[in-house]
Order: sequence, then C-alpha cells, then structure tokens
Amino acid sequence: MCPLYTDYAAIIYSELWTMKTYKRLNKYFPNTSFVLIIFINDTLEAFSILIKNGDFEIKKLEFVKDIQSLDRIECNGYLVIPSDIFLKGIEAIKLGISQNKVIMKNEESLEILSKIIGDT
Amino acid sequence: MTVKMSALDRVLTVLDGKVPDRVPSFCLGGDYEFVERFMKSSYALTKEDMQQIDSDKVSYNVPFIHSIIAKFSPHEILKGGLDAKIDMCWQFVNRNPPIKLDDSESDYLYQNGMILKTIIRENGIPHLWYAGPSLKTKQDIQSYWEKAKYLEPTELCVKNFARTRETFRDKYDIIVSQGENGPFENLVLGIGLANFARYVRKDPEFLKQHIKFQWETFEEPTLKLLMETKPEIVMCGDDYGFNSGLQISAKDWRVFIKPILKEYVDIVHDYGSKFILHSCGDLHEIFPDFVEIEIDGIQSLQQNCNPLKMYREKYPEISLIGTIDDSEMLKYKSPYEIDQVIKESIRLLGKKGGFIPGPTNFLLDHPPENIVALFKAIQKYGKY
Repeated sequence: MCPLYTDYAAIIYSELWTMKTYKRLNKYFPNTSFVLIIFINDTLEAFSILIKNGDFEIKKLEFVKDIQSLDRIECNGYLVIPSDIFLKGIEAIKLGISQNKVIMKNEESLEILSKIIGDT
Repeated sequence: MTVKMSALDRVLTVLDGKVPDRVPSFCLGGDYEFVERFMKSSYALTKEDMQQIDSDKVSYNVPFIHSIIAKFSPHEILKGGLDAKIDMCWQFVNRNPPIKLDDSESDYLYQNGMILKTIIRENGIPHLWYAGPSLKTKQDIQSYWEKAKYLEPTELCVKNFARTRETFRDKYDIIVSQGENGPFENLVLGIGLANFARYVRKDPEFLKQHIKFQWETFEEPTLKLLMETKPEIVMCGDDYGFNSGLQISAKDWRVFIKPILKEYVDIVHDYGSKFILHSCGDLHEIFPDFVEIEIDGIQSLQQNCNPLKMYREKYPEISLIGTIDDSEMLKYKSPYEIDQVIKESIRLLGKKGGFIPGPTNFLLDHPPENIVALFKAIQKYGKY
C-alpha cells in the first residue's frame, strides 16, 4: 500500500475529508477560494490546501526547504509552524504567532486553519 | 403492560441484572470507511437532519460518529430518523498532545507510548494507524518516565464531556458511555507485546514499576477527572484476547493487569456509576475474574470465540454487550439473514435481561443497510 498522504498533510486532509463527506465544506467555507500553504519547518514538510466550491485539494510541496521559498509560490497565505505546536492544536498555534514561533502571511490563513482543526 | 423506559433506565436496569421494557442496543462507533458508505447511501444525513444536529451541537467526529448514531433515532426525536434506535454509544477520553522523548527525529508518541499515524489510503479515505510501540528499550522507558509532567491529563481531556452526555441523553434518548484505555493496552501499545513477555521473565519488578507509573501519572487522574463530570456509565477499552485465547497468560494477566483493572472498577463504583469493559477476543479464561472484581458488563464478545450461552447462565452478574459478528455476518449476510440472527441471539442470550446487542467493534466497511437491519431487528424482537 502506498498512502496518498501521511503525517501533517494527512491530519489536515482527514478533517477536510470529514467536512466534505458530511457535505459541510460550503457551510464552513462559503464563497471561498483560498490557497493556504502549511510548512512544518522542523520536519520540512510543506503542502498547499485549496478549498473551493465544496471541494478541496491538497498538494505536497516537496521542493520547499525554507521559508524564503514560500514567497516564490503563488498562494493567498501561509503558516510556518513547528511540529510540536501544530500537534498541540489551534490555541497553541495562536500563542505561537504571538510569540513569533509561528510565522503567518495573511491573517485569513489562521481563520481557515481554525475552521479546519479548531474543533479537534 | 410494560412502561416504556428511557434509554438510561433501560441500560441501567440491564446492568443491575434486572429485566427492562425491551432489549437495549449498543454501537461503539464507526471509522471513515463507514462514514463514506453511510453518507453515500439512501440513509445519509439530510440538510434537515443536520440543521437539528447542528443546533444541538452533536459531534461529527470519527470514530464516535454521534451524528450518524442520532440518525437512527425514531421520527419523534429526529424527523428524518431511521427508526432503528441505538440506546448507547461511546466516546474516548484523551486529548493530550503527542510528545517526543528527545529532540531527535524520532516519532511523536502518545500518552501511553504508542505511535499513531493518520494516513490517507490510495482510495482517498483516511485511516488511523497504530504504527507500533516507541518504548523499545529500558532507556526509552526511563526517558518516558522523565516526561511525566507532559503525560498528566488536564481538564481539557474531559472538556464538554458532560454536555455531550446530557445532549444525547435529554434530546436523543441515547446514553454516551465514556472512558479511557485500560492498563493492558496502555502497557503493550507503548512497549510492545514482546517486551512485555521479556520483562515478565527477566525483570518483573521493572514492569510493575512501569505499570504503576502509567496508573499514577495518567490512568487514575484521567479516570478521576472523568468521574468528576458524573458519567452514568464508564466504558474502558482493554483488548485481552485473540480469537484463540488470551494475548498473555491468564497467570500474567492476574499478576500484572487485574489489580489495576480492579482499581478502575472501584473508582467508578465509588462514584456510583457502572463499569463496562470493552475487550476483544476469547475471554473465557478470565471471565470469572471479571465477576470477582465486579465489572458490570463486558462489550465485544465475538460469538465465534466466546461461549456466550455459558457466560449468560454461569455468570448472570455480568451483562453481555455487543456479540453480533461484524467481521463476517454484518458484512456479508443479507438484511433478512441479519434479522434472523438477531432474533436467535435475543432468544438465546436476552430472555431475562443481561443482554445489550450491537456490533462487536467499530463499523468499518459494512453495508449501511445491514446496520439499519441490525438495529431494527433489535427493536422488533427485543420486547419483553
């Protein structure tokens, strides 16, 4: 078996998959067309999330190795998050932003991520 | 004429060893594959269902699938309900974030030391995957002991638990049993079965020290936090069996596991609640021990490896919960055949109470029509 996604991309995917399967993506993301990049900077795992028209798409970005390369990718926003903060959930990510441990481009990025993992 | 009971009264009556108005039903939950199948079936939750479920703040979380369990309600509770009532379901207590033993590139481990991964299968359906133990050496275990402060539960781990129970009990007439892993799973998922066997032979005192560490650091505190929320029924999961017998010898189970399991039961009883144990596999060797430590009900109980009729007759103190074969019967038989199996199961095991049928484990790749047939049959043949 070769999984489509593992690790952090899989966590985000499973939340979006659950919303989509229950036909709730449009409820949470009405009229949204947003490309968000998540970069887990200690494990060097980056992926983009596109949510649009009640569907979603996740792409692994294997060429991303540092924060600088994120600015060369077309996206609406990004979050650079250490793995331990990511795994502690959205409140820890918000705290990480205030402590400059999490780097964010576009505040809407945090709103989008909050809706994806906020209740878990 | 029998007075119609609430789900809570019905389940508690059974766990008290008395005969309720009808046979109650139980569903442990279902994983992503079942959610996919259910939501693609003609039974799927509709917009109208979800309006009510959302306003009641019922969870969509997998694998507890409370929103799907609500869909089985009678029409007077949920207008679009399937009228195949489920009386009791489950929810797991544990929200501690995973930790690392050191700063290396090692895996994150969960509270009990196991590695758990989310993976997305080739068919696009998510799956939670037990990826093995992380505490493979004595040094690993000792490093883990040093992380005690990160393993202790906080009130966050039972946040909203009382509200979830009350919503389901008061608005949907469904009991949510809640609980954590038992001592055996916490032990072997973290150190592995081979290490368990090795330490039993070579260093039983070290093993006891580790078991005591887990009990004192997070098992007992988590259970006490849960009990402070006043659950009526607690169900903890601790799989002891294979199809062909116990995973460890009954002797070792009695020395290393039973004393801690008894602590679980005593704490729950001290708060005036009932204790159910979920445990898969062939349990016949230790079933008398369950009676001795006063467990109220055992859930799972695959029919192919447990002498259920003997349990019912010889140990009437313990309610039998589950027992309906989900590895083959609920997957491959027709709704009519399932109806007949339930009829026979209730005749054999549920004559005088003591029986709460349901799938033995989480729903996986089962046809939704079979699951609807199962719960409709429990209502149909369950009248006393």
